[in-house]
Amino acid sequence: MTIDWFTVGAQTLNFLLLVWLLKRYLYGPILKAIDDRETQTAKVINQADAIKLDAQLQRKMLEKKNNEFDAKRDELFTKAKNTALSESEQIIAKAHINADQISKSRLQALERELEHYQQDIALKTLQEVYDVARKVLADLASVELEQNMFECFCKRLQNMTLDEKHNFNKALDAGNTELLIYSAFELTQTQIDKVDGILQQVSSAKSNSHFHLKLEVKTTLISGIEIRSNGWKIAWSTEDYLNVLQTFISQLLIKQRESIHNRTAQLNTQSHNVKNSA
Amino acid sequence: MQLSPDEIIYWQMGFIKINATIVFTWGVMLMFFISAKVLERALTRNNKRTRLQNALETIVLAIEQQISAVGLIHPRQYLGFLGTLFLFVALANLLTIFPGYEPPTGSLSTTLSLALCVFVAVPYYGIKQRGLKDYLASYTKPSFIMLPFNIIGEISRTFALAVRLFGNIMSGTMIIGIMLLIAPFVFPVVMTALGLLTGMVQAYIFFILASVYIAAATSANKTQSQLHKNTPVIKPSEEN
Repeated sequence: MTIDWFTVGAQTLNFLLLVWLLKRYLYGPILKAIDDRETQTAKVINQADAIKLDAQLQRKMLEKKNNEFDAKRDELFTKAKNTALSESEQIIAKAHINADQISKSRLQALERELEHYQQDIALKTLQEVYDVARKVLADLASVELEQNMFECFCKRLQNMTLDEKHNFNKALDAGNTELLIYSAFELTQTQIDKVDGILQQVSSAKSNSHFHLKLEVKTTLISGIEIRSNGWKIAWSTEDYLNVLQTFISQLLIKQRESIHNRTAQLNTQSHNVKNSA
Repeated sequence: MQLSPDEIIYWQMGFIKINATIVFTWGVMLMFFISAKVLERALTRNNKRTRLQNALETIVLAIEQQISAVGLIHPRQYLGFLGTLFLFVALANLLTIFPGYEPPTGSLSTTLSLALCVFVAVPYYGIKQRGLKDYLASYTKPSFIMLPFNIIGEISRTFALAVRLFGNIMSGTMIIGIMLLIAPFVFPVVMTALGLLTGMVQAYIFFILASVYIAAATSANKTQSQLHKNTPVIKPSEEN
């Protein structure tokens, strides 16, 4: 175990040469490559950070825009909802008015139609009653019946009320008054004289009352007799009874119409109450 | 029996001679040079790296980390010297696996030359960091009486460094040689494997001791400077 000083020197030189070689060809390039890569990585990280920051800013901006958009949308939606609600209310109110008008006009039309029908029914009923009565009376018409009718008329004349007598005398005031006698059948002279006598009795209270009779046959009277003059009239015929019947039917129809009116008004009130509660 | 490869002389002319130590050292240097040239061609600065580059980067960074762990503040400044020290000793020891190879570290001349390099490097880095006066003053610490002891310690540790490496490697080689004579099968293989481990450990010890010596020479400067400037000293526990 000896120390060879030449070898020591040579090895020292070798080692120093190796240090230089490795620094030049190994450590230098490797460390430079590492540094470059770290720089590049740092650069990429910085860029990524910048991109991230930018993305965060953009995200915040988009979130802000989204919030604004949502708020605006909600506002518009509320506005549209309110507008639609008010429009809907207006349209419903208008529809109610129109419906009421239509209902009213329909009711009026119905009333008119009802009235028309009532009149028509009354007229037709009367016509039928006339026809039936006329046919019955025509079938039963005989001298006895006509005589009985005449007697009835005479009684009617004799039993005139004070108002009728007053009106009769008033009609005779004009003097030489013509009294028209309408009858469903032709009167005999005896019957004419009897009528004349009764009229003379009724009008005897006044000396200046003169009248003359004029006869005329009128089949529409339906087995009856009628006297007219200057707006005054007194009669007995089945037509009077039929007129009474017509008046009764008319009154009955009026009552019925009134009940329909009341029922309709009740229904209208109920429907208004239902709308208001809705 | 040859105790040192210095005794195998291939060529000699007077004082100048070429022995196995020098030749195998050149061989190791040539391997380093070829590897470095190959790497230089294949070196990339992007993320697509070759396996060789990855391996060498790992080794270089590990050495740098070790230097930093010892306490040297700028490890790259010492990487050239300390890194080469480790790599040379390690490769020189690892190549013992090849038959006929004589490790240069089995020569006291080589280990002494490496120890002398460390012996010179310590004051070099110390003076570089602290200045000549401050560095020389450190030999008189803690008192002037310690000056001769410090100088003796400096020299003795250099020789200890050289003898430790030489002794370990030489003894390993000798044990293998003896075992080849006594039990030529199996046992020498085990001893060779053990020799590889010993070689790596010795390389690491040599490298760490050199690092510690340099760190001691440079970090004392830092402490002194901080004391002079009345700046608070940061303890290692506080640094973390």
